[in-house]
Amino acid sequence: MVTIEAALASALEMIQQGASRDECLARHSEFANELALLLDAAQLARAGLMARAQIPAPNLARGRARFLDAARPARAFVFAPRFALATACAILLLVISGFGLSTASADALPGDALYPIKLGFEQAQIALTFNAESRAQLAEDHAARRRDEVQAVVTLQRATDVEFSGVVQSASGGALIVSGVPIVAEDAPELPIGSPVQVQARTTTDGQVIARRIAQPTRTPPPFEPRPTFTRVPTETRVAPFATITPRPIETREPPPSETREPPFATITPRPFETRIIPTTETRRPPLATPEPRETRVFQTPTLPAPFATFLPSGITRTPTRVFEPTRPPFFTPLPTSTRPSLFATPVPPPPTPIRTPLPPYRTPVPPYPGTKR
Amino acid sequence: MQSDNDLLARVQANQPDALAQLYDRFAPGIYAYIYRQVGVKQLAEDLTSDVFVQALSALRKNRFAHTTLTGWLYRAAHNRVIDHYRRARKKIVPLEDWMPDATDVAADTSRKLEQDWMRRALKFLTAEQQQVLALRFGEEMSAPDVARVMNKDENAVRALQHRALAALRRLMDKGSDQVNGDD
Repeated sequence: MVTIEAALASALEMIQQGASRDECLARHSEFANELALLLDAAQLARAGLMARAQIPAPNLARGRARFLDAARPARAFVFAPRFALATACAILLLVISGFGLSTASADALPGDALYPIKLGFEQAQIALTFNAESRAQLAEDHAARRRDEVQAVVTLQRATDVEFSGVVQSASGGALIVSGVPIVAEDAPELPIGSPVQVQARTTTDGQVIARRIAQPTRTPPPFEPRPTFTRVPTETRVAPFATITPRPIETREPPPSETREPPFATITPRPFETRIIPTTETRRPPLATPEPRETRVFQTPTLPAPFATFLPSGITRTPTRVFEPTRPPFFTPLPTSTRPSLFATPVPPPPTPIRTPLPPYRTPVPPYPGTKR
Repeated sequence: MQSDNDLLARVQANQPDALAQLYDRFAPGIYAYIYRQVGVKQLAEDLTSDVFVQALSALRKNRFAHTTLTGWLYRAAHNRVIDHYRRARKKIVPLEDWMPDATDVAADTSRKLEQDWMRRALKFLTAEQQQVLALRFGEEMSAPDVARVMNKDENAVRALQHRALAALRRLMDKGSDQVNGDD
């Protein structure tokens, strides 16, 4: 007694070997109707689930590099779960002796957890070498290793901070090549070809190395500044990147004249960015006057007034990190025509929520396949 | 699958090239499996590498005593796709970015319709049904191979493919409203 499942299985196999649909149906005539429907479904499945050849060829190189990179630290450990306890003891001893850790961190790259340990080992190695020649050789090896690490990090498209040294091989515009490593340095001065430099940079996920600081090592290396010819100027107008900017006092920040009687419940600090001119004729308004009609308060984002623009010397495109902001969010933004809010002022409605495009549901409803409706 | 077991043994013996060979052998299949469900090439590539990075921890803990490597990988791939959709729901994504890239799919319109329909219909089948269809009709593996990959016996696979095709037929006839709680 052949079940429908067995019949289906043999029919599918026959079709795979090249038999026609009618032959299969004739073979299993007792299930002809149901089998026909199932074979239709199989045909659709075969067409819909593309054969390998129709799928666009993948670029698996990046995933492969990621996979092998993630696998790297594990190579120092032995896969021997049967001897887990013995392995753990052995590893503990190795770590104590220090040798195991240096092996485990040998492949660490900038951004890895073990990378500082690797650097520490290298420094210890140099410190323990007494021969000046081999010490210089070690330093050279380490510098080369730093450059290899930068290349590896670039290949992996990892974003991290890197530091290395080398010799300037070419400098054109904002692009430098330092011992084979291409870096992007926008404000770099003209560095002579062949000069040794130390570079602190940041790699990006699209494979670029963007220099943050380039130093030319001398006895006492001075840090590289974007404008080495910058003359001493009074401190108010010279803006170092992290200086706090103290704004000039603005006359309009003073509170309104004291004759104005503020209503008891409203605590309004006039916003420092707006010049508010309070006409004196309206200051005598009694606080319990008829409440003003409800106004829709519009949330206005503060904009930097013109005086702040002059604080930025030309050439520096970065805005200073500390920007003067009002200490309190402006609850009430009185419109220019009204002088003060009423006693029964309503709170500002929250800003309108951004309209979000609704995400399609996980299971989009499927319509019947065209042409199959019975 | 003898070679798969050999490869697995070599990976666990920590041989240097074994991991790279593992990736090279299985990644195209997993990528194809994922691509059939998501339809976007870049996304499928990313999910594939995620599956393999996940496989690393399973390899270290030796979770392959009772299952085959391919079976585990396909199941992990399936779970990863579901995870992706679940996470994608939480992000607000503008509608344009959600649509699969039109250039990835075949230019022929009828083929494209079939593939789109199939991709959406697959979501209404259970994981095992999806796996059977993908292996049997997508990868075009033979029935014994499918049984080995899915770690089931042949009768179970036959029953599964029957149910999968029956569910697909119901979807073809009446659309997704009628398919609920299939086994």
